[in-house]
Amino acid sequence: MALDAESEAIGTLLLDRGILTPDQLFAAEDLAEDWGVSLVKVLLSRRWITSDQLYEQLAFHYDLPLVNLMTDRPDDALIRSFDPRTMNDWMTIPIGETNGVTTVATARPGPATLLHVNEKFGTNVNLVIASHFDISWSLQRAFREQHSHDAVFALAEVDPEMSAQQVITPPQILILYLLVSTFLLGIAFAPVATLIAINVVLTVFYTGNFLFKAVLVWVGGAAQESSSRAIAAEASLLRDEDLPTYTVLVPMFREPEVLPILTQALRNLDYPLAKLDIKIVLEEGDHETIDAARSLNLEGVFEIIRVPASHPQTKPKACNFALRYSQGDFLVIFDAEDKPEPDQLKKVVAAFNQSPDNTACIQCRLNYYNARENWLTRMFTLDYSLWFDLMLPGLERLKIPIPLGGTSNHFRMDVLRELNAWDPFNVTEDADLGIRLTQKGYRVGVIDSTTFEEANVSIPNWVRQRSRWIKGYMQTFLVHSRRPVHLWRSIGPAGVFGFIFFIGGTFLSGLLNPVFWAIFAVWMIFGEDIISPYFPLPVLYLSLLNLLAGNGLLIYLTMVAPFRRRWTDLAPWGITVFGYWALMTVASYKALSQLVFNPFYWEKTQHGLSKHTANEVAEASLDAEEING
Amino acid sequence: MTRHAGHWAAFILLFLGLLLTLAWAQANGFVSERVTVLWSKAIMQIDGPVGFNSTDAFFPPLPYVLSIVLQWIIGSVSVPTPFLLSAGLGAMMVMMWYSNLRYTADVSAITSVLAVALLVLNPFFLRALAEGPEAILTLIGTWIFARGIVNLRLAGNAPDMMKVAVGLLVVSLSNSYGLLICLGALPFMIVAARPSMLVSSPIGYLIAMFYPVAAAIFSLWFISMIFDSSLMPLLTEEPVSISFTTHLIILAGLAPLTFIATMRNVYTPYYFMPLLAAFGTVFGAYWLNNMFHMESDPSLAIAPMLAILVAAIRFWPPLNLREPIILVLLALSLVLSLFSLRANPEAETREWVAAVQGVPLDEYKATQDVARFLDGKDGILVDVERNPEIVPQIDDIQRLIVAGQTVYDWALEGGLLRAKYILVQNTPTDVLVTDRILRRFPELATDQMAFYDEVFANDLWRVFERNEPREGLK
Repeated sequence: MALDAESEAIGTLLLDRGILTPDQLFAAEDLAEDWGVSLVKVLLSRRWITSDQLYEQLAFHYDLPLVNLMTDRPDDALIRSFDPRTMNDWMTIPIGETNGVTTVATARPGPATLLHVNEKFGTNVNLVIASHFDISWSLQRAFREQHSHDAVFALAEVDPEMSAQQVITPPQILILYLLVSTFLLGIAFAPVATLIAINVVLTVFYTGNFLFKAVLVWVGGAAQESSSRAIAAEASLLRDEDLPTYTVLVPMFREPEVLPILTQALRNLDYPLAKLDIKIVLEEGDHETIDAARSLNLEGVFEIIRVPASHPQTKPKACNFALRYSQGDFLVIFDAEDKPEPDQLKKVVAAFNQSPDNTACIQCRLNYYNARENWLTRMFTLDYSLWFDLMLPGLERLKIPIPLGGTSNHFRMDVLRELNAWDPFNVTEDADLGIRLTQKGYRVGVIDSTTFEEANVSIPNWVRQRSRWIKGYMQTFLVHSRRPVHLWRSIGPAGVFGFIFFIGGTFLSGLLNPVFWAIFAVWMIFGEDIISPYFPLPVLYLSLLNLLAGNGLLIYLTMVAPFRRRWTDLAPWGITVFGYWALMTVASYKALSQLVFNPFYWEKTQHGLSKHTANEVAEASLDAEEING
Repeated sequence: MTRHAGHWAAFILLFLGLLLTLAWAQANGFVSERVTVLWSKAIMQIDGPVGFNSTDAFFPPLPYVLSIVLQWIIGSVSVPTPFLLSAGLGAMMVMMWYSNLRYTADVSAITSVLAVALLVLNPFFLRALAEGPEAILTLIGTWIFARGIVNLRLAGNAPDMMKVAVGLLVVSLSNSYGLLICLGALPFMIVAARPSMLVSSPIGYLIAMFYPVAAAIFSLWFISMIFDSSLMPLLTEEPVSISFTTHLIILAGLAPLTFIATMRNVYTPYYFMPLLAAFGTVFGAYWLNNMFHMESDPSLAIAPMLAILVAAIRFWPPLNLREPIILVLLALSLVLSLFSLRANPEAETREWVAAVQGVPLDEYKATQDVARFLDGKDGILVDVERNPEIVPQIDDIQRLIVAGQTVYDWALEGGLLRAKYILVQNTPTDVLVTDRILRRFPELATDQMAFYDEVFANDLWRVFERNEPREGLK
């Protein structure tokens, strides 16, 4: 696309004034043409000139005053009288009013903005220029209370049935009460029959769980091969100028050390940087990370969003807040230590192009870059390979709701806003959102592009992280089982069974495993006679089938999982998955305890413990120091 | 809908056709020992006395479970349950072969029909069918394994890996000889593997591929241990002495043509290497069997090669004359297989050949005679696990006294014989006695057992009747 006249004029000005070298200007113009964006946007995505220099020259070019909104604070009440999203999209806000004349600050001066200003603020305006950081910060300050409230309560107020704010509803309490009463009555009057009945139910549940997972792996393993090729082919053919603006949210908390790695990983994305709207989402009180981000002198496309302190202090709340300032057509969340494959965003755009209209989210695969660091990282890698490489594609193929995984889920912005985004009371807000999307008639797709993360290297840290995930699954199960009839109607019988086994099965197996392990130990130590009253022959055979074939199958699936990536050296470690299940049990009970006593508490996972990450942090810090002189 | 109806109609016709071949052999007195054992076990488990306690291991588990389930569904019928199972599984497999040739390999309908007809009429297939579900499941497992190993080389995704595992698991859980097939596969898995899978860790690759078999063996051992049953004696068979020339003739039925079909892809390694591995697996198992004797009948040992032949012709390059060559190969294989089977000295295969040719067998008649003699008699002490052929011939199984019942256990463990009748084998003196009643009470062999008189005898059986009142039970 040819360069517009405005960009040419600004470029000439910057060259004349010696702010850009000829080479820089030519490079910037080439990029602007290739990407189909203005020269200003290209310059904001490069570190050739500072943001202050750029806006000074823009003010000169348009012959408008440049204001500093940090020192000359705008009128918050005036800002609040206009629609925040429109102001954010146009980067234009009213900053004061004198004698009926409104002073409007914009970070995007030009004819289109002028028309917009006339339409929204009338013709009696004074136009001034401010940096986009100033405008965004002014918006955040003006709407601080409102957006902070909305970030926490929007979903709970609009769609309370879908919010985990109420952990368990009265009808659910009644059902639990009745179940416990029935159990106690059974134990009192017919103890053996009651225990046999429970045994039968649990044994059948286990069998179903094993079979369901095997089917998922079978279906998931076969799925995607042809669609992956089609997506990769289209992604490689996409022209940069046709690509949409993409918002990248990176919620962080007290992780200043990984910032250099993160920013470099984002720069490595094969996507026009000028079309990225990167929000580093930080807690207002996290001065350490905020200062570290400032000191990096990041390009203009990086913006720090400061989330006001409030409860619950969770990642979804921070993302909900940042969503109000996002400008992309699509949005993705990455964790601070994530390393997405460079072509991931393009693949997602291609996948959306090839998917049905109701596709609202594309989930990418997650895996680990430090897989071989110790036993735990190996097991975690096998776990993720099974989950993301085989099971999620299986869920997609069988049209079963997909619980989204922590990061690298790419959303259509319009749908995300329509559904009030993430539930801040749910500690696995992504899994919950995946189920909610399906219930609302949207589809979640899974594609073959991986984001590599840091696997937990420490068992206590892993237990904390996993207990949060399991607690979140419990919350998600409780939320979406509130209206079983509605659930059945909205996601169908296959969806319901899948939901029960995939969400319910994940935490129930963790809770029930020790019970059956104990029974097995009693049987082995004291002989068959002690358990035979509670295990009639058919139940005993089924239990044996679960014990040998079921567990054997799960071990085998764990061993199969790394083959897709040709990580055959990890396969034998699958035999030790029993140890991993034991840890899962510990995490499950911790999760259950927290669900009862501290349901919204966000167990923070400590990142950067890996040797790999430490080395990378050191290297990235050195690089950053060199770049900053 | 029409296509499904057509498939069902074809399946039923095929099932009835296969059942007819089995009925013909049975009418002439041939029921294989494995079918007899399996049928007997199924009858005892479903219709037998409540206290019946099997001392043999739950092996081979897959045909055993399927037979029990089918016996439970259809109840007592004159057709052996394993025959129904064998015909059903055989028909299903032939349908899958047809589908694989017709739709996956894009062979014309007429050639596909003729090809599967030639496969069904192949004496090795019919012999495997008559041997019962163990042999048919071994064929199915081998075919799944062969398909999986080729696809694993082509795509390398999880379902293909699972196909290889399922194939090996099916053969190892269906037949003790299946364990040798797994062992035979061990070196050839490396031949078949995608190089990218071996680069990272060949050991890891092999462990993952063989884990299902190892887990299955461990499970069998564990079950055998906790239920205190004996597994090992069931795994091996009495070896049959066969000359090298006879081996070559037996192999000539299937092996050379399968090798030719495999070599046809010699210039396309991603087909050739896994097909060669599949061929080598069965050939290796046949060779190992000469040392381990897990399958005494060499025809049954080489029969899984038929499944490899099907997999190999499925990957025959779609060039000119592909279809006529396939048909000629299969026809040639059929003719050679006729000679192979006739050359087999193993007794049961010789009996099957005779029965198929319409020659009646005497052993079957002898068992029918003793069953007729016992008609209406109650309280018959018999070792059903060592004499399974008697079970299907008894109209009311409750008339038998078997392991797990008090009278039987008193007799075998306490030496107190109280049964009204005792049915034992009529064993020549120079033959190892397997009947546990006869071993416990060797006086029966010489008709010197106190309080018991011989009341029936033929070439296979002897029946004794108690001649004193049973005080202990009054």
